[in-house]
Amino acid sequence: MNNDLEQVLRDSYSELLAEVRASTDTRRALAALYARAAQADTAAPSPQATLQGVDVPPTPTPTPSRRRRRVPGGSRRRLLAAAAIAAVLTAAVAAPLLLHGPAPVRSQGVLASAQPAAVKVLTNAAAVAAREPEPAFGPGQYWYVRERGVKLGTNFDQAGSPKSFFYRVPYQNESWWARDGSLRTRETSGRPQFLSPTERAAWIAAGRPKLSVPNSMTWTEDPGTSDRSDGWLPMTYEQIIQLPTDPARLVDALAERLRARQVNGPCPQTATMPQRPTPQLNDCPPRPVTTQDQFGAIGFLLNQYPLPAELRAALYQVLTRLDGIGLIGEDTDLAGRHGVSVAIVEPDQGQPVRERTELILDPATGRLLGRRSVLIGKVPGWRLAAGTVVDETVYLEASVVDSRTARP
Amino acid sequence: MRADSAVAAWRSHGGGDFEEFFDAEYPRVVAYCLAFGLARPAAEDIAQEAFLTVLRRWETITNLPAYLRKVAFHLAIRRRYEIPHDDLATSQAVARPDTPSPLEERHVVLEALRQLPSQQQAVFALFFDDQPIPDIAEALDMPAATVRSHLRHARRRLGVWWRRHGDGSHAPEGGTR
Repeated sequence: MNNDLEQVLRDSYSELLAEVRASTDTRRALAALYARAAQADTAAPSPQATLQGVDVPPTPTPTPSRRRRRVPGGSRRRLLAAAAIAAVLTAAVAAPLLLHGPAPVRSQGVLASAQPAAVKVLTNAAAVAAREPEPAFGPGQYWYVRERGVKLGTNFDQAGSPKSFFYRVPYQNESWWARDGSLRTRETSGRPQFLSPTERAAWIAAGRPKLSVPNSMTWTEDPGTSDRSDGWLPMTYEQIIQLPTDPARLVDALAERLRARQVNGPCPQTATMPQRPTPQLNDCPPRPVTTQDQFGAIGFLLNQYPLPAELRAALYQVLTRLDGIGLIGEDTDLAGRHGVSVAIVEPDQGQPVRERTELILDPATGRLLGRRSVLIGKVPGWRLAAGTVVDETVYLEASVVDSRTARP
Repeated sequence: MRADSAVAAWRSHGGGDFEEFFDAEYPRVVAYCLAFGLARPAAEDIAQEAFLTVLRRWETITNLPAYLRKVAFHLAIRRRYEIPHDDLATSQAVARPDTPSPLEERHVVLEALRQLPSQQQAVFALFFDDQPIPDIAEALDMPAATVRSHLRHARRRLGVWWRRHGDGSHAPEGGTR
């Protein structure tokens, strides 16, 4: 989807909201709300379930005839919905990975005090990367990337309820990216595996909803329309080689691109109460670029694009300048390759789910081996320990091919 | 908290806060429920239920917009599943797959969101509702990285849908069709 279509849809949503506003009598709706509150006063509310700390009002009891008719259709729709949700949670794969069975749990700590060690590792990686040969990526050729990983899946519509369950799905992503920015992507998901017998029992209790995997999906994006990583990263090879290789200027260039993107994004809300009137998008101040934004962007650049050696080295040097980068230490990726991992933690802003993002790199070559997202706290209502790996990917191949269906 | 004490708590706050909050947010939550394919009456009903839940916990909620949308999301999902199968053909509560409703014909975003799985629908509706990523993550009980991933996948899916099925009536200049 290009920015024009996104703007069309955003405008359409604004028109929908304007229509709802124009046709809504909020005074009357508020009066109706008070009436319902008063009605609840005479029959005290008894929340039927608690979803992630949310008391869900009880569902009106269906009439017997409605209940009878509801069963087959209702369960069918639940299956379809669960399948759709599972499809969202999963990308694809066919071959087994090292990661199977119970959810892997990693250390929860981030070695904030080890930052100098992280800087040392990244600086060494930069030095090695600067000596690596540059890929010969000519017109008519494609940059092929293959990654494989395992994601955590759940039925989000039941999150936190007794009917929620967790499983892992292996996946494989392949992409063919041309100098002009056109892109072909193929995602394949493998067979899901429940984290434990408890999760399987929860799935059975939920009515054995279909998980919609294994599956496979292929799509293409035309030149200039690829929105990899939400659209702000380089879309063509020209734009890549125009990025500065001086770390100080590269920091500014990346921050500027992120900031430029934020202008088109949603307005941040700084207070718990909404502002009135709702600010127009053009009036939104850019959201401050966070170190997590930069960390994610650099990781994506390093693993998805054919970078000149100097630029790759500069990106590692930029990582050393990010606050909160910590060294996890020696690590082994899903493919069994040994490396060193550095990480950054999502700041605590009261959100129920916080993650630590890790990049695993090979100190001998300066190549990025993989990425991992880890829960850093217990999530209320989830049967997942702190340290559970949410998503883990290894980058297995990255090289030039001559067509967008060819593999090395 | 019983509703009477919630109302009392609200009144002890001067009353204006909740009224102002309701006035600003009610249409947005209705629109959000419409984006889930619910008909107007069902959307208003769910918005009312969600506000009622917020009212009961008015004093303890720190992020009211996110919490409100979290409740509305769970209620909307539940409502979609509860429509009797036999009633689907005649019900206006859920948009039917092949027949755009008059509302969808007026607002292409509803037809577009209908092409997405539930989670992507929810994420994109909140995105268009100008909710920041951390609030979307909170409202949908998912990591911020997952929200961004859903956005990315939804964009790709919508791009494909637009190229294959867009009728041109809403085609943006320089579009990809």
